[in-house]
Amino acid sequence: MRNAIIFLFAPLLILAGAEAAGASRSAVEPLRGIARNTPSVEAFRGGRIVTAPGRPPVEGVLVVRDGIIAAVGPDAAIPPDAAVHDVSGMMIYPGLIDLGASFGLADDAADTVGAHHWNSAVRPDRRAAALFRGDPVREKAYRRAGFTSVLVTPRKGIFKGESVLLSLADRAVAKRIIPSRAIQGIDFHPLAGDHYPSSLMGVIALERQTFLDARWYRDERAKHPEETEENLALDALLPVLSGDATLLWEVDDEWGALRAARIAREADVTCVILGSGYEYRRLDAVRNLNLPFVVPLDFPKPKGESLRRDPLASADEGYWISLRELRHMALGPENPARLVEAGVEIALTPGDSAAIDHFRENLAEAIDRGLSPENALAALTTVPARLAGVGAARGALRVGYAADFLVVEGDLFDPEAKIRESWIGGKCHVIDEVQPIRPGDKWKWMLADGDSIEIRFEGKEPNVSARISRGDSTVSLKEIDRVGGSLSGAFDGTPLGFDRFVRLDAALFPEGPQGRLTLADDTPLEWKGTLVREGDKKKKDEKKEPPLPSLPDIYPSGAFGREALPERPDVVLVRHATIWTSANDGILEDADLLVRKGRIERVGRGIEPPRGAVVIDGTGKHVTAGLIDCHSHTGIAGAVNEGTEAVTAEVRVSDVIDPDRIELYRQLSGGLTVINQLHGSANPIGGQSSVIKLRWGALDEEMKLRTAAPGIKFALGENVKQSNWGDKYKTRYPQTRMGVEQIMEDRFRQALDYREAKKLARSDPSRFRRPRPDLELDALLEVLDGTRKVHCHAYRQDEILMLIRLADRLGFTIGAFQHVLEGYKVADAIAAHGAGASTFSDWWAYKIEVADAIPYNGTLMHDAGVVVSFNSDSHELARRLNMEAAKAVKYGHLSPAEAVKFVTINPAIQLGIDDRVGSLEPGKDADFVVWSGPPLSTATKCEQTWIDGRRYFDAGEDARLREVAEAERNALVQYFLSREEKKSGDDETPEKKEEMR
Amino acid sequence: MSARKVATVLLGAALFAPSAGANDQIPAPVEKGAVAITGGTVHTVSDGDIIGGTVLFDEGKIVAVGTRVALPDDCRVIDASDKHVYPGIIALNTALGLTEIGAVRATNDINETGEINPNVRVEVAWNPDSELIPVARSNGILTALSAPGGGLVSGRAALMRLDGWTWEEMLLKSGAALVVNWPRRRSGSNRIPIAKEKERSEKRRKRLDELDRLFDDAAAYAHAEEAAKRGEAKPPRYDARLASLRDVIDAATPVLIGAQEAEDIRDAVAWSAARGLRPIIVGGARADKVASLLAERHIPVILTDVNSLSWSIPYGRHSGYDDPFTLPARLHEAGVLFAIAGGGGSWGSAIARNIPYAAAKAAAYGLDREEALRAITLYPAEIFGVADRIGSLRPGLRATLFISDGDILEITSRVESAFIDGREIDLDDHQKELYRKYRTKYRQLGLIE
Repeated sequence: MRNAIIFLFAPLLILAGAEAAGASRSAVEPLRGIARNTPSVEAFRGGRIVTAPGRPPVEGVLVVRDGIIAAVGPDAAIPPDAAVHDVSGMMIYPGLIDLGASFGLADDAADTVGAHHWNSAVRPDRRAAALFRGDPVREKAYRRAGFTSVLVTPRKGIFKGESVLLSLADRAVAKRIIPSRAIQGIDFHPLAGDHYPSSLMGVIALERQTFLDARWYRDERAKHPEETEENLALDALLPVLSGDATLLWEVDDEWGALRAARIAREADVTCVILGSGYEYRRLDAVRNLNLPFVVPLDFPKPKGESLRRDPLASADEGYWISLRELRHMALGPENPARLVEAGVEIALTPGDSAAIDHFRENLAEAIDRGLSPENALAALTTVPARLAGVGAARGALRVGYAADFLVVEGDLFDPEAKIRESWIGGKCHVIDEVQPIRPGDKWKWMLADGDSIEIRFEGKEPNVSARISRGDSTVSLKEIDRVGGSLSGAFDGTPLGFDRFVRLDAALFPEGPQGRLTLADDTPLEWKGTLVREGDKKKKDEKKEPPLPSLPDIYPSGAFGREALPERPDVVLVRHATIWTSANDGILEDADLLVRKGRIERVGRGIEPPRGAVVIDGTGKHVTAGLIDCHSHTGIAGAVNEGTEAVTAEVRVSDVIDPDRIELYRQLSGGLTVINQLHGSANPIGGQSSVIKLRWGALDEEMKLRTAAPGIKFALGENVKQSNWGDKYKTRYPQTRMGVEQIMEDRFRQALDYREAKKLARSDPSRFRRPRPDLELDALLEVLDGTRKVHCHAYRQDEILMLIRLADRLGFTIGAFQHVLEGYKVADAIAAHGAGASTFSDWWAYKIEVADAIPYNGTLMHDAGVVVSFNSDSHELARRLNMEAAKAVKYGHLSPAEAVKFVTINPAIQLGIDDRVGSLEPGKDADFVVWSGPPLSTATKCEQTWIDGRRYFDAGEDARLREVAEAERNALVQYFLSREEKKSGDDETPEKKEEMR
Repeated sequence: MSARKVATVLLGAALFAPSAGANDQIPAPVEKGAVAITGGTVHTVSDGDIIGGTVLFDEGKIVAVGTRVALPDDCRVIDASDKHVYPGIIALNTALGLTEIGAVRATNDINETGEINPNVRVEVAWNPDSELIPVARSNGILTALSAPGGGLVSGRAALMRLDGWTWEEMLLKSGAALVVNWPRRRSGSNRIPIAKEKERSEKRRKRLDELDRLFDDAAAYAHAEEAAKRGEAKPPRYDARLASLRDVIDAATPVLIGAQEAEDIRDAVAWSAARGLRPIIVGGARADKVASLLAERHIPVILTDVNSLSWSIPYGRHSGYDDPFTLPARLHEAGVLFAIAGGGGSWGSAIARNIPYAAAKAAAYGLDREEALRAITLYPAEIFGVADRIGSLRPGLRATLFISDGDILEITSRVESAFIDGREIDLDDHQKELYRKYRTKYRQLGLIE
């Protein structure tokens, strides 16, 4: 295998060798003028060579011939024709490789021409190799940081295009391209503007559909080459499907990584994650992906002003920076080390565009925070080389490998150590030239009277200053001019015993400095001095970092996170409480609720506590089933609407669950346990919904209530006909309620045709072509089959009736009308159809279509036989759905027990989860709430919220968590302030100190 | 305007005509003779509860409150046994009368264009026939502060009685306050990139300068007017904005300053102090952080976010979930005078009837229940200087009160009758009419009794 790879790369090496001598001319470009054929055999002796990560440095010789390493090690002989470089005192490292770059690309031509994909965000046919025009400034910065090659990926789009691995040698682009494994850039960022997709869930839907399209396209092209339309984008994806190309998937946080991995797995394609730096926050889940990561080194830092500002805002809240962000600023630098420790294969990338200038400091910080130098070097050399498919030719200093290496004056991982030269493909790039006159140098000479004058050079390249002293007096050399080994300037001579200003000019000779002082009266004073250079006196300014406060891993990271999910006791017994069963038993006074292993075992009176039971004294307290919100938009990452098209049945909220939203915890504090996460109402047929339990701290996938009936959002009325969107939105179909009916029916009919076509293709593949798999129509077929419930946003009675009749015609039953504020006008029809109604308790008057909304809506519909629930549609209102339920008693005289059902069992029925939750009955999940008093009283508070027999909210624990958060935040503010103090102290240059005197 | 546009406008007009029309409730006539409400629990708010008490009123004013009240011979007696009698709730921070349908521009008169509008007055745009008014009234909201919005200086709010034929009849106090929106340090969102901070603070500075210039100019204008009055100079050329500020700079009229953050509140108070103005803070989500300042200077606060629907309350990821609920109790502890209101604007006006439940939330989270009730009755009256007319049940005050079948802080209680200035008002509303109408439908269908 190994041989095969070497064989594969062999022709390449020859090519590389041939061009090494040819300066910056392409191989096919004719020679102009006189040929330049600088010999290209170099030998480096005297240095210590790190040939590969984990290898101890060896003293020896490195021989490069035509850009390729010809020999390396203690036994390597210096060829007679080699130019010899003495690199005594230097270290030699393999050059660094970055896989995360995206600079230097020209904009591509308009994508409206040619056989491109219909969606301008799908451009895998874009090739960085064709667009790279170079960026000398950034390339220089990369070389300064130690990089010798970079993988450049197009930036624009979702399918962004094919990357190119480039040598950073200062040469013609054509000569810099390194044949590598094909890599396709992909991310989750919608293009700006009103095109599809505009939401994260829309992006994912497009990605999923595109992979399906590509497979279908491949098969159809093979079978019917003439009848299949050309699509350059899908052509370009074929290597991804076959495994010849891999995806480089850029993500914004840990959840993005999990999402990317899921889609890649589903599409059966390989990928490398271009990570976010947040991976450590869900380390186990990230490790379990078993994917390589390219992780950034640009660790966010708090700005001093954000820490110091606004003392009135107090430490208890994130005025500008939340505890969650502060924690990330403190823990982010550990990300690489923790990934390695967890066994994740990582490569490192400098991070966003400005970060390259701080790359080595950031790298040092990562090492300081636990990343071993060996692993750091691997993450910058052998790992990226392997990921890019060039591991057999790059990333280490071996015979036959590309001669990409760094000559460093010291340890590469010490940011102070200077990279002197970067050799790329045998070409030398001077990085930090050794200046003849350096900071730290001292020049000394004796005056005639026996006194000595001393010039001390200080500062950092390129801003070097000099101070002149005689005896105890010191002055600055002004008007300083330092070029190579020569120096001139002037100083105020009076403090040193001269008359007025003295001019100085001098040069450094091999035996020492030699020069002249010109005194105030124009008298020259010649002198010869000595150079004192104290070798490498590392001013080991032991950076005394303040200690990092202890920050345990909590989920989610930030306030109210826990180190683990709340424990699930084997047995829980609530005793002597008033229990609102939301079932046949109604309200039981002085009753007990017995829970075993997360399930309700019994509800009744006089249950004795089993041994080891966690007993809750419910005296004076009330217990209800966990509240359920049938209309929520909480915990959805990215936009809630994919409103760019009238029909987006293919998008799925379940792709974008954001389990870390603080609102989820706050809703737990109001007794909420289950939410129906709905797509917004911007289009007639919206996306697929997701039902989750509020298992705060769990992973997105773990929150899903998988037995819930799949759902989809439909919407009617003003929103979908864009009535209140502004003047720009007057053309999308539909603009009337008439059109709403038509587009809905049309899509269902298209779905039926599509089903027919699929059936035919299956029955007689030779005659009928397989239709393109269509996720949008598949979802609608599920609706028609009754396996996906429609949750339809509706207000007016006409539109409610319209959809009922449409569903009747097409033979499916609507799951629930949402909001349905005029439901009371056609409650008989809703009941007869069998749809549920999930409404607001008392909202009205915000739009013309809700002018007739009445708070009696819920009870009237209930009285007419409809299963009714009250929903929130709001992060906030979802915290007090019990208060909303009380309004059904106020308006329409519903009984309190029935009113509580509006927020427990009724929404459970609407979501198809009433077999699991919604009431307190044996066998159901132990999802319940302990209230301080009657649940419909405004004087009542939620004290505990249990899900699956785990206490996810407890008012007492909340108070403790709040204290912990406050203490952590205070400690972190102090930590960052003291770091800042330290840093600003370091930055004071001698000149500044002088000014301060 | 194209033909199509005209058509759209007309169609739009036709669409909202039904609800932009008048409400069906008839303003109450003057009550002839005295009325006594007897036997109920009388929540005087100012002087505790009287169980089995009587409230006697005549000619629009309360004559007596107590257990031993002698009733005049021709007195109408209303038996309120097992019921509760309250002074009318005063809804602050509304735009009632200025709005009908949030999304329909033509029905909104809340925000005048431009930044500086101290001269505009709410009452002249007040629609007595708004459907929102009877709906609010149905839950005991009998007085409302209707406030303009938008810009830096929005205009002059008015206290309105929620019954009457014309705005003039309904006007309780014109120019109850000048509305100023304090330039905020940050927007409602929690996440402002620090990079944008400079830009924001620059904008903020400009707005503060603008505010200063306005008040400086108003002072100069007043000075010139005085000089003219003394015959020492010609009167200044008429400037509507500056002329309108006279009562404000003389501290005769308070300034209702919208501010949520502690620093903004502090700055607004400092600014008012420097100019000798009378500030009232509206918003006040972070008033607890400057509670001692507010208490010392007797600056009242109108809390608008106790039961907020705002996505950003409580502020910050690590604020306690109950921060907004416990805020009133903490302010009370610190000695700050506050009222509890709703969210304001068109939306807040439509659900102004829920204001008692914000007070109830505060009570559930530590505020004395009596104080919670005061925060929606007596304290609003005190803050706007009308406590001698409304806000409690005391002899001499206007008979603006209601009877409910239970604790008004409980959602399940219902208001049964109400009086404004002693006139018994129609508690019906658009929503109840529709309820009756459609109950009839289901009765006809045999679905309900």
